[in-house]
Amino acid sequence: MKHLHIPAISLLLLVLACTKDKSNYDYSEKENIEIKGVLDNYSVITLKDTLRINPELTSNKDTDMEYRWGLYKGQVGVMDTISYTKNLSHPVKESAGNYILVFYTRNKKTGVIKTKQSGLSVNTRFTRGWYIAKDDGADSDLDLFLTPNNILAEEKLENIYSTVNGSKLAGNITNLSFLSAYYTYDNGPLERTRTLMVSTDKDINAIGIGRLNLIRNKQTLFLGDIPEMGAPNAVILGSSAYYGLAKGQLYSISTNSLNSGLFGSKTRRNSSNADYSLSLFNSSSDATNPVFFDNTSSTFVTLVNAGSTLTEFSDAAGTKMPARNNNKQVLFMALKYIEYQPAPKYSFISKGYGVLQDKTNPSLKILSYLEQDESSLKITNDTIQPSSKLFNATQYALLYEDENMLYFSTDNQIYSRNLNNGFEQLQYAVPAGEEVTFIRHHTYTSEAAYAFNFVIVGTRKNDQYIIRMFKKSSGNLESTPYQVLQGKGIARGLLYIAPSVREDTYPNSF
Amino acid sequence: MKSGIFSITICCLFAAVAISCKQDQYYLFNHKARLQFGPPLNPPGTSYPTFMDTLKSATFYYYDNSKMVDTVYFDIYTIGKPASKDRKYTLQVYELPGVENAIAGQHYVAFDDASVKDLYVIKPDSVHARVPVIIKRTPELKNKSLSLGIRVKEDENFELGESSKLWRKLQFTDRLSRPDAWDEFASQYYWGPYSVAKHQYMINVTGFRWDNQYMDELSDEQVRYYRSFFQTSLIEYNKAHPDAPLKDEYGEPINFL
Repeated sequence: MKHLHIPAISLLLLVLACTKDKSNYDYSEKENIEIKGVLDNYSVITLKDTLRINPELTSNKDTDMEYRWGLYKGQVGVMDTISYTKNLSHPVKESAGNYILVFYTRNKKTGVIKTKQSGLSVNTRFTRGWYIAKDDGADSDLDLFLTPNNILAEEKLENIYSTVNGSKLAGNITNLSFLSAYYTYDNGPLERTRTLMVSTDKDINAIGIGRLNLIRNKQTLFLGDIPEMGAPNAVILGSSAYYGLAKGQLYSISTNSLNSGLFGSKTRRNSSNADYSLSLFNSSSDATNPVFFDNTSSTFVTLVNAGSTLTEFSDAAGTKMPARNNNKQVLFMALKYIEYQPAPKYSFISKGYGVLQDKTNPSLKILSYLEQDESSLKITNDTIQPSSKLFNATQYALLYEDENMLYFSTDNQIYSRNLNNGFEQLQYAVPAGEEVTFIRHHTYTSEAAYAFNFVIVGTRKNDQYIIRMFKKSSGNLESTPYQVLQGKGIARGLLYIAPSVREDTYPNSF
Repeated sequence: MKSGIFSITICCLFAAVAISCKQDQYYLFNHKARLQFGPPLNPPGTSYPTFMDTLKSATFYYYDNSKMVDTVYFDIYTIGKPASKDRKYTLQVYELPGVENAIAGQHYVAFDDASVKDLYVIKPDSVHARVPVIIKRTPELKNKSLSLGIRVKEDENFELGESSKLWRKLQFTDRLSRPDAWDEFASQYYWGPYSVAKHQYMINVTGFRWDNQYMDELSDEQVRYYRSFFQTSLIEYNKAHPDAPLKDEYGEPINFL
């Protein structure tokens, strides 16, 4: 019996053990193709530059190479072949955006393939520089100061919007903001479009950075009827929405769901659709519920998840003033910083400041510290003494994520107020004859060569604007501006735009 | 000796098992063609709920008085190879319980009517056809809805397909009626419960038809827009009519969630 088991099992193993031999008996040296002379990243200007790359190839085998250069828009999609030669000389005509450049080479004798990928940033002359939003008291336009090498302007493209589009924007500037993920059909398919939102008292204009073309205005920016326009018109970044403010009425685009960049129905004040009028000034961020102020009811309100009805803030413990019906109006408000709350909240809270004036007693003005946590608000007040410079301020800029200081202008002089101790200090004596038209604090850190942290003061002298950009030292302005930009018109705001600028780069666009 | 035979038998069985494995053949459908209803013809990969389009509704409400007939289409599919010639198929009507059923000739054109019978064919080299159901506008439709049950019938060209896909239902009227797009999902998340009064209000305040095609083509952001628009509009209406807030035909206050 045992004698029979052994051959039977052996036979079975033999049957099962046979497999087709697929081994590789080619013992020759593996081909190694090396590509040199192709950088990891390129940056070009469309309709101006020619992309020239002369790669060097080495191989340890006899070669008969074939080549191909291709472009991908974004991370996926079909490769657009732009050349079949080894040396690339490609006049750039692609639209502005980020591409992946692929160099593909194949040894026809061995079949071995080698590829090299590079990032390609296609820009226009319009994708980098200082944008100035200005008006002449009737119509608006944009000036662009080009910055090819660093943050210092080297060339001015005056009235560049009307030069490109053939006409100016109707009305006077009320707000300038930038959205980097705003959806449009500007290049055909629905896609994110880097867009300047230029708001005037007569219109809201979406202007594509790539070609500086008018993508949408009030005629096409809203679902349904065209809202009534009038100051304050503005577009504001929120945590789950873009907010459109048209004559103080709020509209929103939910960015949590698919959208085509159109604002929806007017947000209701409450369940009875009461009248309201939101201030332009707000404390909004891309991570928290916005803090708006309804000047009609003197109530701090927010909008949760781009809903259809405003929510009144509730009073947080320890608040010194009710968030609702407090008989105030807002003269200024801005975001100071946001802060992440770890477990169990896993959410952001925001801190901001506001300058409020009592409706009954206009001589009562307060500086309010606003601590927002979802839909509750803690308000801590500091009465502004009539003797203080802040009492008669007309322009303001809160330093965002920086020294705890508020800059403002009174009698066309630039002052600072230390928000810890109330100390006020003259920071810059504006030359006689100039009127301050705006103050901003903007910081940009994405590119070392272009990084800046400026307090920016815009003034008007007759029909000219003068914009001075100051570096700070311990919160105080350096004695002379780092850069001065000048042009025709009344400048109301500015933004530094570059490929790395995102919509959350400058939270306070006023 | 017995144990030797047993061992050899076992070995043979093992060997047979070891060498008997091979890839299964693919079996092609070689039977008589079959026929069943299905979803609208759309690009491959488009997914549909199983019972989508099993019930359709139609109304003459939106048309002027000169329109006396209308055509509602279902989609039908064959199983099996396409043919090189026209293949007629046969439909039959079945009685739907609990509703008023349409009468052939009076309320719709019968499928075997000489004027339409040639429409019920699968064209050469095709596996799909749109099934026309021609309904007639009669005065009684101003006051009621009629129903029509349709079922595939086996004939000389086709056997029956899947049993759950052999039927379709049609409901038609000359009144404002619930569009197919206002389904349970739309009721739960967009527009609230359907009522003719609410439907009429939506038409009145927007000037749009709000029929099935219109509602079916609304994007998500348009749906969000109109829901908020109707909410606001209704608030204003009720403020303007404090003693007569808008109610539906059942006496319930109208709301849009």
